Amino acid sequence: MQKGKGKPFLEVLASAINEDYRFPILEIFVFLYALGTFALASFAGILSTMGTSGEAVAYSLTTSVLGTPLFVFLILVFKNLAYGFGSDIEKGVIQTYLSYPLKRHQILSAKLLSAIGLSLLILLSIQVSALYLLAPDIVANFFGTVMLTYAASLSPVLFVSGIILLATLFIRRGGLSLVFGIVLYFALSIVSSMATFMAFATKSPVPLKVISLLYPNTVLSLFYRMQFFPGMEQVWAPTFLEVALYIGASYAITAFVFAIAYIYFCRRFST
Amino acid sequence: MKRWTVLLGRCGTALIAVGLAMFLVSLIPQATISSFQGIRSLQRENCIVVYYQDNLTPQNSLTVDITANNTVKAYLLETNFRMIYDWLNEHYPPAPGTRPFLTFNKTCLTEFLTANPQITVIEKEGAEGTILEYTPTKMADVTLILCNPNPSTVEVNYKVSVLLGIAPGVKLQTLGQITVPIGLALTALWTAGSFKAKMEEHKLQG
Repeated sequence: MQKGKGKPFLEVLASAINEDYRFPILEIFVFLYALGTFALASFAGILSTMGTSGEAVAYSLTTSVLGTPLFVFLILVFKNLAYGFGSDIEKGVIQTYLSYPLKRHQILSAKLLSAIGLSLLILLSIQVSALYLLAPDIVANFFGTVMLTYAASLSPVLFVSGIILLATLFIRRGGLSLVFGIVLYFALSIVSSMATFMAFATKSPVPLKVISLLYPNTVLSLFYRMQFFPGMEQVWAPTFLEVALYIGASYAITAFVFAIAYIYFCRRFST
Repeated sequence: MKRWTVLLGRCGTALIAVGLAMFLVSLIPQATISSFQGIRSLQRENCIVVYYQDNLTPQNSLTVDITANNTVKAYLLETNFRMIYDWLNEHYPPAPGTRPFLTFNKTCLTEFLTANPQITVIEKEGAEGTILEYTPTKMADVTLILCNPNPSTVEVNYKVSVLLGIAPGVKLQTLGQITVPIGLALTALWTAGSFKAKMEEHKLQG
């Protein structure tokens, strides 16, 4: 019984990949990732802030290349989740998948592996290789910092992806959940900027701590002293343990959202 | 069409896309952000620091063009000028009343380089049109030292330019030249298969 389960899973995965990355979608996104990474790489941040350590340089460089490619990644993931998965639900394709000898969570896993996993793999492999090409010594010596920056920066995107998945499952309309996801992501970005300014104005670390739960890049930038507001290190100077805790907490929140989506899909979702 | 053919084909097209992006970026020219020119008279077996620059990034390139009436030795060191200054003052304190560290003899430099062997990035000897090109792989401070190994005085002209580019063009072009053909090779089977399938479909429709 267990032996035969691999193939249907691969069938669903292959079908999802084929649907999500139709020619030339994959190629266009790969091209944009590569072009964006090289075109946006900049050391200007490190030269204009207080961060001067090797880790701060690695953080600054990684953050600089994440700008547009992260937005491109966000569009790809949101398209795959809302439009791809949403249209599967709308058109009834999901019924075909449910007839496969697979558990529901395996079907959802295959869809998520294609929608998020593969996109993430492409983004990371292109960006890390490009960063290594640009500054080999920085990436090789501070690889941990580079990956930590990715972890902190990708957390809000994955959180909103989880919300989009939930919205797609609940409202069963891809287009609507796509719009909802994009609005939510930008609302979060605006709230993050407002919280940073509020903390600067009131000299209180509370807004920063609250927003770091969803936007752990805030706490990481404070840790590496890469905030552009002067005197922010007096408002909150987090330790590395705090940084790790906030990143961990943000992923726990994201995992919780995905867990709700899994539970709903497995127990309540009806076609 | 077999699934692995499609998989290889799509990997190939992705590689072509990466290669094209690299080609495109490599076409963007570098900009000269600062330039410095000077003339020095180097006494026999003497050395002098002619240029130093802090915080060069991997996006910067340094080009040094040297012209002299006899052979000179150029050393590009990946270190701060201050470090050389402190080392020389510690090991060869200047005589009271003299200005420290304007020039120093070859022995001092040899000793300094023996004590710090990892900092020499370029060491070149020449006279007419000696060109040094350097791109750091991390944030780096650089210092350029010129030495006269001859028993007579040498007149040296030098021009140092700091360039700013968005990516190392030569590296990207080389990589693009590798990835695009590999991509094309991987895509060949998939393209042929797709073409065959379309032809068959066309025949059936006809």
